[in-house]
Amino acid sequence: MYKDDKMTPMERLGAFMTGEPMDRILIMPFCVSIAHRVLGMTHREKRSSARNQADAQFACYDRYGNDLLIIEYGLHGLGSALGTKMNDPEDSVPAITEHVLKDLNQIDDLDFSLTKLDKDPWFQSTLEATKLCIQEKGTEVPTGVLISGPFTAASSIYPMDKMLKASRKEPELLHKLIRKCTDALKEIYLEYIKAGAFILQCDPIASGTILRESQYVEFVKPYATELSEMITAVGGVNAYHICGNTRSIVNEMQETGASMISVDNIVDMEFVKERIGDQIPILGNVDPVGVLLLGSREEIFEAVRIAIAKSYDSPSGYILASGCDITQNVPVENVDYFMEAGRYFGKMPLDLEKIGRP
Amino acid sequence: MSEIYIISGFLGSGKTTLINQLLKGNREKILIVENEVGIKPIDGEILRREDVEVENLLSGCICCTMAVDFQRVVEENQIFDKIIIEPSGVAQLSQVMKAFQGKHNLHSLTVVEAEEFLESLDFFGAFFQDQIENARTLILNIREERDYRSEQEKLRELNEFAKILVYNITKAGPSFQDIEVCQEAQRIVTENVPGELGMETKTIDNPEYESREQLQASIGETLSGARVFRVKGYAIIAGVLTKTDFAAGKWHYEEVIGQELGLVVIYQDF
Repeated sequence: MYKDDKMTPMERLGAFMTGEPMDRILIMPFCVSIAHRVLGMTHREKRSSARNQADAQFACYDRYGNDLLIIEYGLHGLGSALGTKMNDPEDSVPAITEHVLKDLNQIDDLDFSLTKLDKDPWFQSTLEATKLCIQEKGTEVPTGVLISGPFTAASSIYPMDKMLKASRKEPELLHKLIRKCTDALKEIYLEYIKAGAFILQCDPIASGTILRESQYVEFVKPYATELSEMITAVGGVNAYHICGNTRSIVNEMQETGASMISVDNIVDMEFVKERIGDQIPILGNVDPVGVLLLGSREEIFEAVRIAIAKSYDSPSGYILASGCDITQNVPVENVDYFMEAGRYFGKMPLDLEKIGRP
Repeated sequence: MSEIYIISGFLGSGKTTLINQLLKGNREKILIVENEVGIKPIDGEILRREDVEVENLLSGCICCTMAVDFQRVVEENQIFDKIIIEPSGVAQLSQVMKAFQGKHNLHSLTVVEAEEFLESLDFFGAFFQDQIENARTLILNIREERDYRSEQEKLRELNEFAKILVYNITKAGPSFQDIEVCQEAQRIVTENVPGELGMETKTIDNPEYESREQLQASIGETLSGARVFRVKGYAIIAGVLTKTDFAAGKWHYEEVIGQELGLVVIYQDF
């Protein structure tokens, strides 16, 4: 157990779920892209083996005592299994260099069996890392898998601006692509859930900044709902995150049946609390760039204080989190400050005078 | 100090053709920073020139780290006379500009494909309008010989300050001199997404004032220390329901009937 805590993350999560007393609020900074830095290796070294992926998460947990380990299947996993070309940078997150699908009329040429466990080495490696986390620390801290939602998965196969055009000109073909992605994701999600992990379903391309509400309702919601239903049916946990401005779709997100909703820092937590706080636990939303990357210790403390002040009384519960993944350029000590601030303002029972007004 | 040109526009709007046009007659040292996947059809002839370099910024989260990445590249490449930034077609121009706030050598330009423009406005998410609202120069890229007045009027409605140029870019385009410089105090519109750029909104229910002066003073007092960008809505002023609009430093009032009372203030707290 972390030195400044009185409960393990598992005990704390159990108390959160059942309404029992906790030593402090749950704190889940998204330590994904930064994890290799905390362990002291390059990103390529981290992604080269399941052992390193798990060890990077253990390094974060040992240092921060954060409440969730996160293994990254990632946003491009489906596309890269199908043949989308990725670069292989030594010390940053790989990016797409060429999408596998050039023409939506060629969807049937894609061999989706390549996304299955027996054929995809990245799936195998990340599942193995997930199992290592759960075998070695599972009684103490939960593990989640960061994985794309249906729309972002499709954008790893076919470029997103072309998807937007297709949503107007060839909607049936776009539906066909997202349908196939959803079916593939179901099988992938299921393997991680069987291993004992939470699903952290991230769909940044479904952001309200890029899509209109009507497009979200047509091209994302039905598929996300299907995935949620599958996760719930097998007893899994589905934390649903969409980047960017999700004000107009936050109710739709909740209606997909997710277990909890996480929002970007540009969305006001009071707004989220008012809209869906009575239905579902909410996570958020300290700015990973403006505050965690560029901010001072004092600014991080103030941002954490405001996040808690806005959200602590959300009826179905609140988890302090970053508004998005923490990039590798964030100084590792800034996550120390984030955790320190979370422990200071989030100590139970909450001291409302200390927290102050938003 | 390098001149920075941000050239935004959706896929197929003509951004790359425009860059090719801009580079044709130019002999300065130029860096092109791209943020899109795939090989761009920048003219081979231009690419072979020693005074032009292209950098691809592939990684980075579309929602949050992009602006910081652009900022870094610009800082590291000040030896170039001009740096052209071509963000992804779905990038929010306001987010990219945020990285260069306070710089006097910034030019922002958005290329709009004329044939599908009006339809696209009803269809795309907030990024599309953001690209138009925040550009200092707008280029309406036309393909046909016809009247594009309604497209131009719509552009003007969305951005009352921008210089609007109409070109068939495949045939001719502007020169660097035609692209306006962003004034530091340029309005950055965030009505669709008030959470961005540190903007806040405040709603005033049942606003009632004795005079226009009292309304202005009251908002100034309520938000002292903040910079008010926009006020809009309906208030009772001297007993009369009045449409109230404050934009670009100017107040407009119009007496109306039958509108719901309420004012929204968009401001930035310092």
